[in-house]
Amino acid sequence: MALERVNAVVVGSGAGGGIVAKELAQAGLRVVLLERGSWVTAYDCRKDDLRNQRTTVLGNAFGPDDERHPRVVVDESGRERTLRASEPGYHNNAGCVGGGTASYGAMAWRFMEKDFRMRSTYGAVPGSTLEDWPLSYADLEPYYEKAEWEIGVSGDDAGNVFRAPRRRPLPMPPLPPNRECQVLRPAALRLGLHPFDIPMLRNSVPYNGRPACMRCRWCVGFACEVDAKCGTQNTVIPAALKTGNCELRCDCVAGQVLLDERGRAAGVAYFDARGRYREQPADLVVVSCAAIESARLLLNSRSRLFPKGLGNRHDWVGRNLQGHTYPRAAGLFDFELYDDQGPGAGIAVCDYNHGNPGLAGGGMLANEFIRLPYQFVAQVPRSAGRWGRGHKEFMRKWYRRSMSVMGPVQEMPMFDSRVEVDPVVKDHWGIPVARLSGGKHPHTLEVARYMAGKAEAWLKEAGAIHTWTVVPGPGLSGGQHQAGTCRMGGDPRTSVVNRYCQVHDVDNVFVIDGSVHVTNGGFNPVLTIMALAYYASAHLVKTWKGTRMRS
Amino acid sequence: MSENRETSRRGFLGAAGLALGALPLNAQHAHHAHQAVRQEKAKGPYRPRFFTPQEYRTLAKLADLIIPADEHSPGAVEAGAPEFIDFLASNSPELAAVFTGGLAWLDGETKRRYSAAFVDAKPGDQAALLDLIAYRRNDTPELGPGIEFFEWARKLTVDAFYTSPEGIKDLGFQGNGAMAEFSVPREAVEYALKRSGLG
Ligand SMILES: Cc1cc2nc3c(=O)[nH]c(=O)nc-3n(C[C@H](O)[C@H](O)[C@H](O)COP(=O)(O)OP(=O)(O)OC[C@H]3O[C@@H](n4cnc5c(N)ncnc54)[C@H](O)[C@@H]3O)c2cc1C
Ligand code: SF4
Repeated sequence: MALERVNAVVVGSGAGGGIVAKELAQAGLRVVLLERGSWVTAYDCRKDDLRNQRTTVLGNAFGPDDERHPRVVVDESGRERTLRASEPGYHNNAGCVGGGTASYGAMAWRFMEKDFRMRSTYGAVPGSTLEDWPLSYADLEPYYEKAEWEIGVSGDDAGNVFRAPRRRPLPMPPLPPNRECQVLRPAALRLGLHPFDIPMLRNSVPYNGRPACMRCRWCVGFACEVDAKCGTQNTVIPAALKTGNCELRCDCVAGQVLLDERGRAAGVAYFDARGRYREQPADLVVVSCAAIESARLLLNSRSRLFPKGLGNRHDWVGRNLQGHTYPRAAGLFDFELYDDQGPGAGIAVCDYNHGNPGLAGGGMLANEFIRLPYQFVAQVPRSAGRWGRGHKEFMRKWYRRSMSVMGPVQEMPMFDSRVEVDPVVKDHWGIPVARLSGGKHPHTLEVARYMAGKAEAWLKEAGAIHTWTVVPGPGLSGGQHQAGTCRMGGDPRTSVVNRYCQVHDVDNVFVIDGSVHVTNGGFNPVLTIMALAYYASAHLVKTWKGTRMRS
Repeated sequence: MSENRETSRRGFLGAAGLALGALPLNAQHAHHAHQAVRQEKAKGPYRPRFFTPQEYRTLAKLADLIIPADEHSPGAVEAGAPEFIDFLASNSPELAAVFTGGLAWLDGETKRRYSAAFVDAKPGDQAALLDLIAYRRNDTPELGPGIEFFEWARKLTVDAFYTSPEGIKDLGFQGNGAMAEFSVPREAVEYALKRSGLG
């Protein structure tokens, strides 16, 4: 039975897709929002220590499930493995209504002006596809503001002298500093740095009809039982549904964008909650599945006109997969830092995002969210032993007297770090799965080593009596901060979408999520994804003429 | 309880090799595992659901070595780590294979080196072998499987201990207890009001 035609199908209800669905529905378009996962609540996830979106020993609490969503990952040595969704190395973000925003840590960063002009700022970096964005910070500024006010951000970045200009302050004040922040702030000031309260998508006061944070500490990786954490699932998606123009279909897995004989999108083919194959006809299609799955969906949408996949005439779909390289420093103190005050992270500096001698870019540094004890074990230095009395004593002595500082290093994109579709392995529905390969650029690791040193210096100044650093290896990035696989740009030969997130070759297909990031900033990416979604939606609505785009 | 177990067991079919850090245990929770173990122990002495008596003794010895009891607090055995692992293994053929294979390797290796099963070996010999397989830098084709197994044994022992009441107490950590009410701390409200310019 054919489904009734709608104006738009949005695939994926995460940060990008949730916003687009609401903007289009409010503009009067009839929208179907397809989500492969379910509507997961705090009750379902029960804040289990070993089963959440950060510690997945017992599985992903926010999807996707282990049984039906394999991926193939090729490591640096060429070894190929088929992984389950909760295994390390799968590069998961999430699979539920709200996508990553249902369980994230909720840092809400605006990128800096230079983050959109990396190539002009630093020049070409050999071996990297480093490039400028086709839009500027100023273009996005009003939409950053819209995201901050509509989704809801608390914090105070007035102390951040490096921040890009903003017209309006954040809508909510910061949460009170926890003990770590109280120790780190004066230390940063003594070092001549510029610390401030991290902007967070979290209610510090009642806002938008939801209560304030109760500081429970089980925050990053979990759902919030009082709904103080702001994601698309408790803001724009309910607003979209309220218009009466948007239908959310959960547990529906899109397999392909359908194309007509002229090469324009005709709708989306998907498998519904009962496993039935369906075709949803639509005037336009928005792909918002997060960087890895969006690339996979385009690559799986082959036709006579696009034998290598939709929008992939020049082999750029799936390229430049990136995330963030997180160097960290840990410190032990002879006083207690543990005060059980969630969400944990609270203080940051942006002194090292740019202008580091001889280096391209950098990243912000902040204290860590949480280190639940079983996570802290992974950081116990080798000298304490890996088992036995010494190990246990180390935990007892230092767990409450330790902290970490870390930061997301802006990565140098690599053409060969990529998403393909696997020629053999298929998922539960018979759809070819994503196949990931590649690694990090050496310069990214160089910046990461430098940043680890800066993080360590901050901890030392704060009084750490023993410190050590951890710098990630050269393996592929992606994961929760995955981005870059459908780059936006002015030249159709070296990018996939234009500055409005519209696929170059096909004017009624849009990619609106982290995929379009040319570079991923030295910051967690979600607020930029949200701002882009508002920006691209505004343009889409402006050019929309009843059933088609004005050309 | 038993219904839950059935559902989760059905979910684990399919799938190939198992990497550290991921058990194919959807619909399974740490609290659930601890609680199931506690209920079982309340009925009388624990009878392993999955492991043979010899395997279970070895598993318990390992847990005891990894996190021993000391003058401050009970260790992983008192905190129920062997039962926790037994419960998870009874729900996951892949994990079960990791542990049966690993425990057999451990016994084989101690027999070869010290002519005794692991539980019967001298404490010094047990420690020497653990010190070899506890570190990736000792990786050789011969020790590889042992190193792989130790990662799993350590991880699950630690996970079980630090999610148990005994482990949480040992750290003076508050743990993730159930809350009777959901309220915003007063200081947080006052601070926010002050910073907002409204207070
Ligand atoms: C634990 C955790 C902590 C994080 N902390 C932060 C933070 O502090 N700050 C920050 O900026 N970012 C953070 N992130 C990252 C942030 O969540 C992501 O950057 C963001 O959600 C990405 O947005 P997106 O729209 O690209 O994709 P997502 O939000 O991942 O949404 C994609 C959606 O598409 C769905 N989907 C995929 N394929 C299909 C298909 N074929 N059919 C139907 N639906 C499909 C997925 O199920 C998912 O719901 C965190 C993430 C996690 C998991
Ligand atoms: S720390 Fe605050 S926002 Fe996070 S889950 Fe707890 S109450 Fe919710």
